[in-house]
Amino acid sequence: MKSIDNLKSFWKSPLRRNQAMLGYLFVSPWVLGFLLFGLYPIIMSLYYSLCQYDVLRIPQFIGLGNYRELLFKDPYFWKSTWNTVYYTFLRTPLVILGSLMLAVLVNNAVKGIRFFRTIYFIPSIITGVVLSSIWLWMLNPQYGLINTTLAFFGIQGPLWLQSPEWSKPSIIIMSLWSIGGGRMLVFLAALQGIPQQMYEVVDLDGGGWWNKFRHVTIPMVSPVIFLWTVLEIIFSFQVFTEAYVMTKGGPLNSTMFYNLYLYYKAFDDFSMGYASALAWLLLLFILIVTLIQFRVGRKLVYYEGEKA
Amino acid sequence: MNTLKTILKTVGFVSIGLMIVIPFLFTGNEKPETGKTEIQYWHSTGQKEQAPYYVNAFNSTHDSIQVKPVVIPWQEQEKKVLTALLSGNPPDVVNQFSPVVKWASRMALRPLDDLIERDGLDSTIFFPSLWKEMRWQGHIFAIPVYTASYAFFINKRLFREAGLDPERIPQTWQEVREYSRKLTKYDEDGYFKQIGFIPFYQQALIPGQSTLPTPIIMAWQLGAEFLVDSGHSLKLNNPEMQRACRWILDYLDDYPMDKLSAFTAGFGYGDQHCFVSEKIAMMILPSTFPEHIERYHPDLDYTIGMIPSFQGYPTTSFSGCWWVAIPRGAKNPEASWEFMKYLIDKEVQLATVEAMEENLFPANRLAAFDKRFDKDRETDIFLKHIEVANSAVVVPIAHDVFWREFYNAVERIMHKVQPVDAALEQAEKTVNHELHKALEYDEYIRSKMDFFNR
Amino acid sequence: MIIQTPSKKILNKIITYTFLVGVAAILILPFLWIISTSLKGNESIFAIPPQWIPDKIHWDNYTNVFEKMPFFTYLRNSIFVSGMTIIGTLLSSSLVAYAFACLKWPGRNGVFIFVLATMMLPMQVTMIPLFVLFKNFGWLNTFKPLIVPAFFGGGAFNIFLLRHFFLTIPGELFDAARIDGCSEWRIYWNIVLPLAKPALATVAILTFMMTWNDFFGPLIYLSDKLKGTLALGLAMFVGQHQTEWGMLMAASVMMMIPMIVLFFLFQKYFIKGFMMSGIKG
Repeated sequence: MKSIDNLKSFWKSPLRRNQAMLGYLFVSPWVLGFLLFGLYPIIMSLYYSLCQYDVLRIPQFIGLGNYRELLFKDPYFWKSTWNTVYYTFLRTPLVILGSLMLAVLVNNAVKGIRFFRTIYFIPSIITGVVLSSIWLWMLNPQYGLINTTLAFFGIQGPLWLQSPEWSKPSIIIMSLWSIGGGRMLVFLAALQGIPQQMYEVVDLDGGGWWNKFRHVTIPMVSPVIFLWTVLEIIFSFQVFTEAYVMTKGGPLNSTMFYNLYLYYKAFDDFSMGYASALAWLLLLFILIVTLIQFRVGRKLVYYEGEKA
Repeated sequence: MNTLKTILKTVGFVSIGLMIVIPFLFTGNEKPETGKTEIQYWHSTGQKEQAPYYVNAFNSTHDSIQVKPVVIPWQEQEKKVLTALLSGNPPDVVNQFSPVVKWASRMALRPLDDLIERDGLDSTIFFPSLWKEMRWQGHIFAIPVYTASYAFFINKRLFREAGLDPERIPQTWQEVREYSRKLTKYDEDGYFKQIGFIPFYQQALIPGQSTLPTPIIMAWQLGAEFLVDSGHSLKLNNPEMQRACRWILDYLDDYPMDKLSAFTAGFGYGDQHCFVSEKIAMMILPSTFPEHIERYHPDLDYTIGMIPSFQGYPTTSFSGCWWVAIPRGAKNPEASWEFMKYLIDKEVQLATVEAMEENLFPANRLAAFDKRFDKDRETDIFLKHIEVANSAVVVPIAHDVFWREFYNAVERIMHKVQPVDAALEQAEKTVNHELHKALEYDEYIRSKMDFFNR
Repeated sequence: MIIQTPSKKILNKIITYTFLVGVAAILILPFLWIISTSLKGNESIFAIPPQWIPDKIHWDNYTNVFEKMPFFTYLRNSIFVSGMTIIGTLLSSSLVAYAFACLKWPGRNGVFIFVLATMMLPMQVTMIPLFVLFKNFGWLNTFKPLIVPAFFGGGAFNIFLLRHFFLTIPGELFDAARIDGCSEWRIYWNIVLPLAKPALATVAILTFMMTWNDFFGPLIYLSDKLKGTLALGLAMFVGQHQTEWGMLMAASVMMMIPMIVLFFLFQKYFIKGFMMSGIKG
């Protein structure tokens, strides 16, 4: 009831009413775009998830059959879910920490910093076959860059992509390599916003770099950390490309990620109905995780310009 | 503020510039010459020439039809064809490599029976193993154009080094096993430096690296039948398959799996291909492979022979071919058919294969066995393999599921995660489940739509 | 500024550069490898250990690219598609993000969750219906499916990113402007956008990267040879049996250069960063 009262008082104030109208106006491009390009595909995929459908012929309605089969009969569903959860929870903290460190590093206003930033950015623009040929070379157990470096320190490197235990970590390493793209940039943009005075205060107190990092950087970029946690989890659950170009899901299905399995179902087997059911379960799962994050995040994140 | 203005100005200028360019982009289409039927032909056989030889030849000899070739990238070409079919305006003729049945069973292709009957096309001119692939439920949906074949490649230099006679290519798997022991070398840490023959690979990490899946070749040689119950179920866990897998398991006792994995992981692209870089001495490879050798290691001393078999059993091989078909809904079936017939003409086939850089074989036997077709010893062996080939389409309407499950099962067996029959049983169950689902769906479609209407 | 002893300053600099160079050395290696491979003939193309400077430099890999594909046509198309997408994305996503971050309206949080949810459904299952939709619009074989959606919202990711940056702008700034009688349009255009330059530059770069490298969109929507993009042209070097490695690498290098240059130039907008500390002070 309270919310309705709030709503009523909201509409009474002309200033607020005006702002609300503008709010609707400003958000309208997205709403329009959603109605034009988003709604139909989303509804259709939901409908197909209740059907047997091979794209080229008409769908056959089978109710919840796909969902039932997925949850209770399909071993790949659980295997790929486990692989994906493993990947997501191992990778997300690494990516966030790594890109934050990288951003702190390139936030130094030293000579030639633009050049260094550009170098860090380059790995993120390499794609496709070129990317996979590079990593095949880097991760080669006998002659690869990584294992020869490890051997230099007397460490016997693993078989990487060829080993069921190491294939997922290999793919995580591969994806970490490109953190100099969007992730570093967003952190950098946030770091640039931290007033220099705040660091000077720590200097006055005689604190070193760790204190600066701990008491200024981390709290000031906490919104960005939150932002990337939400995004990384959404992206990681949909991990696809690395496994698709490198391992095709092997060895022993250790890199059969959720979206890779979905892709095989959709485009190799033409089981679009089944793939749609997979997709909607994924949506549901990510949505729940994201909502929980927003609940928890509200308490942890510090927004300087909080306007709520 | 100034910088924002600069951005906006730049963006403004760029967009104005682009606006000027748009009209060119949207109207730059070539108009077909008047009075000619233009047909769109999609193919993905490389980008060597702007238009394939036979297209130019066809266009210069036909007044009423103009063929417009469109190259589609090899990667993801199936998706391109799939969406084109949905677009309602598909190309008039597609050239594809994936199984015909995959498309035909989904009503994506126009049945050709009427045209074949009307023009009296003689199907016996094609290799029977290829023609069989064009058929689905008694109807013909495509025409084979060229094919690749396989053979057993051996590295003569490595043979000589190991004290083996390079002219005596092993004929039986038992011999392969003995030869392989002699051809295998280790480094000081006990890792492989070179192996004679590996009957099992991890599911190919590298495209183009793939050799034939030895277990299924062996099972075929032993006489296995996979599709039973008139196509309604798969029998993968059969005695022949079990025997083949057990034989390979036994073979791999000489090659510990962890060391083998470390070795195969070292294989790469191009000049790092395991046969080209002389890491493997014997391997089943496609007929396009000599061109690969020519590019990356022209001095490689190799020869080819028949794929080995078990003592007393005939050998077998794999088939797969490029075919042309008319997608359902294409607008000019008559003109398309004219072009398709042209492609399989003996003379055109000979000239086309001649013009191609890749070592492919005409699907028309009259051309393949014509004395003008470059006929050295190698060609002869490849041709023999086409004659004894089995179709790669083992389970027609669950093709991809079958191969995925097959490779998974073999992997589990070789890594000793599961015993032979349990692994085969599990794969068989999964494929059968998918097969039954596909058949049910098929039945539903038949009750709703006329399958063979045009 | 705190006064540091000169020796400490120098030490700091040395440490910074050591880290910068160390990380750079690791991250640049693969790129150098691509360049080196793009200059090699077939003989030793993937030799192990890699031969960094080929014995014979094959410039012909580069010249062949121009022969094998209509490079400049593809370049023009790629620039057109990426340019239009960037413009559309910047305009529409900043507008929508402003609505979510700076304006209050009933239903805001609900709609925002909806925006986020559009990111969570794998595109593999919406791709086919979307294709059918564009077919019904009559947009196949035009650049419209690749460009027009950017003008309508610019993607959930960008909205989320910009919303976040707008949220960090101090609230007093808005209050002050509103009391001064500034319209929301003016606040958006004259205050928020200039302040969010680093964020806008980030969105522009990321959008550029995505559209420039996009292979799938052009693959399914464009069928005319002359309407291809660079990413599509690049894929033509990969065949079933043979891949033209030298040319593939050469074309990749040429394709990467505009991205690198653009990134280098856009950095100008990161250096100044937010002016908000100045405004507040």
